[in-house]
Amino acid sequence: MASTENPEQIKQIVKQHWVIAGLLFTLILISIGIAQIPFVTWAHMAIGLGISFVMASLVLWFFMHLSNERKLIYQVMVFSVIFSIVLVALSLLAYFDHSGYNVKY
Amino acid sequence: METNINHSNAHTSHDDQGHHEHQELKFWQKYIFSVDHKVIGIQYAITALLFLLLGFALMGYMRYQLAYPDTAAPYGFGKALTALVGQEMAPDGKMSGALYNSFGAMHGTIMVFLAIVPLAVGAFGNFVVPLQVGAGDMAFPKLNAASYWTYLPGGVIMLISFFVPGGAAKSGWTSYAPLSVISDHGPAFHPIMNGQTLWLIGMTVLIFSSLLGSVNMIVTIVQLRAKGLTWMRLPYFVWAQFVTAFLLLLAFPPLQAAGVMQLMDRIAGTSFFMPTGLVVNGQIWDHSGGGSPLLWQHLFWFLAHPEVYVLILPALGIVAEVVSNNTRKPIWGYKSMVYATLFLGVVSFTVWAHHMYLTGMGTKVSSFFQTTTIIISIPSVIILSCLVISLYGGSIRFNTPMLFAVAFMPMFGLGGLTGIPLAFNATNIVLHDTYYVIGHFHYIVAPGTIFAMFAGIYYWYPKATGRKMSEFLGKLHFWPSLILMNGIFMPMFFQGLAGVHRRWHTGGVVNGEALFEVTKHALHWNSFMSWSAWLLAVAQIPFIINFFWAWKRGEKVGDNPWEATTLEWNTPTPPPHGNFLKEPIVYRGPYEYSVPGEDKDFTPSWEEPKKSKTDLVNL
Amino acid sequence: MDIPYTVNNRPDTGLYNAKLGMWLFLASEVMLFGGLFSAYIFLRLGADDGMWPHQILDVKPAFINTMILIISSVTIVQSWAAVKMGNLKKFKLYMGMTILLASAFVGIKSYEYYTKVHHYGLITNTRIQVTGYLDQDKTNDQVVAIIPDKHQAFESGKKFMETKLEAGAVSAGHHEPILFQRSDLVWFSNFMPRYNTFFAIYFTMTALHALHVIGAIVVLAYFWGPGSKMFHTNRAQFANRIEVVGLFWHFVELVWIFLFPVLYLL
Repeated sequence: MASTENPEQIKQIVKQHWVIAGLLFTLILISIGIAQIPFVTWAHMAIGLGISFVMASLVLWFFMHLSNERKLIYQVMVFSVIFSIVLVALSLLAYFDHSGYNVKY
Repeated sequence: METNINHSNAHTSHDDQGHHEHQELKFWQKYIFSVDHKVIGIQYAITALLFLLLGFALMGYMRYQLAYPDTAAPYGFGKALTALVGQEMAPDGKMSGALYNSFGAMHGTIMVFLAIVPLAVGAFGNFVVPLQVGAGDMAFPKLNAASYWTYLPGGVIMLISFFVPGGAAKSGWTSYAPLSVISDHGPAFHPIMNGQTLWLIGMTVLIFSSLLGSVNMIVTIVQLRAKGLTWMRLPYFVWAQFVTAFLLLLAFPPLQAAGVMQLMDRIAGTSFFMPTGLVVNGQIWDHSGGGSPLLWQHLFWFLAHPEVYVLILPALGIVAEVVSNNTRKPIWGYKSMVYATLFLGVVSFTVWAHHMYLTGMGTKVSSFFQTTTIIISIPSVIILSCLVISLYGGSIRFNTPMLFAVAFMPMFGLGGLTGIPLAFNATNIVLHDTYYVIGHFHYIVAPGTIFAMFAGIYYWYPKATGRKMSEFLGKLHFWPSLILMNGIFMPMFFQGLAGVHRRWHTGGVVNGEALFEVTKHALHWNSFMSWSAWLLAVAQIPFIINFFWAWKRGEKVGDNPWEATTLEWNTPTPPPHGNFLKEPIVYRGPYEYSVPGEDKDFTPSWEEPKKSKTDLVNL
Repeated sequence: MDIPYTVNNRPDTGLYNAKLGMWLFLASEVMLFGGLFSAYIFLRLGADDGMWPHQILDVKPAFINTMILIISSVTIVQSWAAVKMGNLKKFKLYMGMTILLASAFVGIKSYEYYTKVHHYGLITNTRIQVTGYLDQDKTNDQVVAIIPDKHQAFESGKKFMETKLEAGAVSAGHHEPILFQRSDLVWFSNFMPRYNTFFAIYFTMTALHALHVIGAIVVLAYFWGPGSKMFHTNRAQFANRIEVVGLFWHFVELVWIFLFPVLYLL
């Protein structure tokens, strides 16, 4: 967003950051609260990571202003996210699908 | 160069003047700590070529051990070995098993990470890409210098590791845990100054260097393309470097993570890759356990398979440039080559576990990786076919670069085709860890990539120095090299199919008897291959002489000696700092050779069209 | 020689060089931490039953650190806005605040590491895992005297404590040490990386993250100090620099957003 903003917009951006920071604060409190409730592990995992993904999206979208960024940037980030998911998913697939004998890797 | 980019900034012109004053740089500023992409490219080239020679020398010793097990090499070579690495590793000039392992691991590491990749990406990428896209320099010149100056210490750390107690890393270039974690470990070894730990530190430094380089490369290609140089007008070499840079950018970090974890395993005593209840030398290893050796393999091959394409794509790019220039016609199927390259880049991230069929992977996962591996052969075949078809109907000029480029095609093809049996898990089980695998990937990298690198050196040498390398010495270099390369690697297929294992440090023979009956009839090839390797070393002498002789004495040439069409030939020779005298504008595609109706058989992309203005600049 | 698009956007890509460079760098960072998170998953799956701790780390300092990062994300954008508005004083103020906050993060992190040195755990040959603090006086070559934690992070430790309480062997305040024969122990160590795979990944990931924070402090300090000269010579480019380093700083926060629940809560 180089050199395109007028002072009014800049003030707007700063204000927006405060709002997002407040939201992040609330979300982190919620995730700490939920962690104290005795759920089963997978439910904790799902909720905890879910909240993290929401928070990460907020940071990416507003703090790192992906909301008003170019296609090229999206492409780069989409590739890196896809490849890291590929890394995790295929390694896990290999972990759970092993031939015959039941060993801990 | 565009100078009117910032109207509000009065200092732009100021900086320009400052620059002219800087022309009078001291020698060390101009040639040592330079930020000029061409100087850095040449620094990369020379360093990488030296490492190439070193990796080759290690192999020369290993081949002696394979051909004449447990004898000292003659003519002082054995004595030199003992003098260098010590009596313990090389008793009386004979190579110990540990030294053989160490040389094997370091041959792989040096060749891949310190020789070929820096040569292909650091040297050619740095020197040629900014010229071909019409840029004055890389996008971040200081970062570029930083990339070289982190690569060099990485290499030096690897070199130092040869001389620490216990010798250099000896767990293969793959550094598989837990073997790599327990090697050179314990009270007898320094916690940091030992082969494997230095290997990990060196790798971490090298990965950092490659990260800096790849970011720079991508930004340069995206941001600094000349006016009129649209994506589909990019020379194929630039495309190849672009995809390569993305592979380096995204595939290396997981290995960085894995390297840090293995470093923790060795230094902080963690158990990332160490399974529970591991017994070493009859004793339970002192660790908490719970780690996963397969995790290392996943993270390692997640890098190392895309790395294969890092080794091969720039080579394909060079071959495309040389072939098009010397057949005097456009390369056939430019667009399909570009799309194939992009597809190759994406799919290369999903094939890595075909290196791990023997780890007890289940049928589902094996089938998955088998399928993706076979799929990835399609774009490779597309690219190679395009290059071969490009030869058809051309009036070919068989100069030295073209000889190397043409030889590249069947050699790469042979390497690629022999890879297909390795992609299927059923046949892989038989061939895994035999010399067949060695033959397969060396056909791709040695007479493949290295030949393409030679083609590139002969082709761009006039641009870098203003002088041509000798054609006679070039041919004297080429023909023996071609024959001897095949002399080394072809018998590897015979041996591998016979079941000769790749890590037998006496070449499958113990006390004059074959270790296994089944491999007996294939072992006589050992000395043949070794002699081919040593003669190949001799065959490189004309190249070395040529390289230095032509620097001062070669035939002087003009700005465009090959009558080429791409932008790098539009600069003065050698190009000054800033490259182009006036901002280049591109009017057409990269390979406009033998255009009907033109008065000469090449139409440079920077030449203004004479007849119509219809296909003028479209940015 | 001038490199184009250091200040203004290239028309067809809409980006200036440094911004694209930074995003590419961040993409590779995603892969770096992706590799580490996949290691986390592997290790957690591979851990023997009951051997992966649950909420063993103190949440309070980590919570404070999270707050610090969130607030510093706002202060750094304030400093960018100040450059845009042409207010050097305000820039220095907010940038200084960001640096202080980042340093506080590192300080608290160091404190957390420090507490781990004195925190111990042991595993008996009956696979009971008890955590707590060492009673230095009663610990010797044969005996480990441990004052157990109130909240045992391992199931086996909780059960062990309950039976001890029922047997009346431990006072209600848990201040009495429990004595273990060293020959009965299969594993005994303080909470350093080697204790188990959880602490290995905890230390590796947070240390790598802290290295990023320290790197950011160095760069921010440069822009606060000598680098701020550019404010006068080329303000547009200086604003770009602050924006780009801000991207990096936000990314450091983003990584922490995942590290915090994964290591402290789940």
